[in-house]
Amino acid sequence: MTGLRELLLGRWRATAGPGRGVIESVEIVEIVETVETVETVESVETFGIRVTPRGAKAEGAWPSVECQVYACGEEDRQPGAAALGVVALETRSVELQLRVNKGILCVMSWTRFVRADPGQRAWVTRELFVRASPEVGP
Amino acid sequence: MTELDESPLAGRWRNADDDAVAPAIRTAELRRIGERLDLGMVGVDGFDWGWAPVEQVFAGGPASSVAVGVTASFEVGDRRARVHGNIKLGVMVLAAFVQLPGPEQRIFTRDFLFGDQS
Repeated sequence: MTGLRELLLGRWRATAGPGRGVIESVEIVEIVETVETVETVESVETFGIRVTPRGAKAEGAWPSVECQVYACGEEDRQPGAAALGVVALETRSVELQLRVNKGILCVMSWTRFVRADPGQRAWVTRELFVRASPEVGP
Repeated sequence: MTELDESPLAGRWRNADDDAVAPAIRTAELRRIGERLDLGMVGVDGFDWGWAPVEQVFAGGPASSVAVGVTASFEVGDRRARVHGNIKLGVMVLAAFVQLPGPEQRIFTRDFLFGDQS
């Protein structure tokens, strides 16, 4: 998981200017939990996503969610990594597809409403992000 | 509000890359039977994922009336895949979060499929 970790971890900011897009920034963090049993103590490594939407003051920041990390095939000899997580909000859920390649994070947000409402339809958006913080070391 | 126009998604799709390697998807198909919309997939290695119900059809934005995306989940034996398919410039971009048997066997694939008229 080490290579994937280095590709994904850190804070990312949107490439689009103010007033465009849904997400302002994305933070991908590592969560290390210690699991104790009668005989052993093990560290379990998981990953979390924290999304700050645009207009966060009005809506409130989205809750952090655990995500699953996936390896990608290489594109132009560059390794990639992807992650999948779902943010549950009061009225809707947003399934996040994150993919890092060549230093760019691409986020597809699959938004649907929790309760079926004929006046509202599910939609998908795609946004790009660059690193806002230095890369994480090994 | 009018129904979403699903026509951009419908039909059979074939991977544009003949050299794609497993677990890439070779063909996909969206079919509607009554109220149900299903997604079917076959891998480049011939693995048949079968059919899964489309969980949701997505528009390109809150005000759009054209369907551009679908999500579905597959589980066949000990293989699982969470699939996001979306249309971009007439091409179906099929992203699959694939879980294969064994530790650390989580692979993300992203394939580009064109409409198969054959």
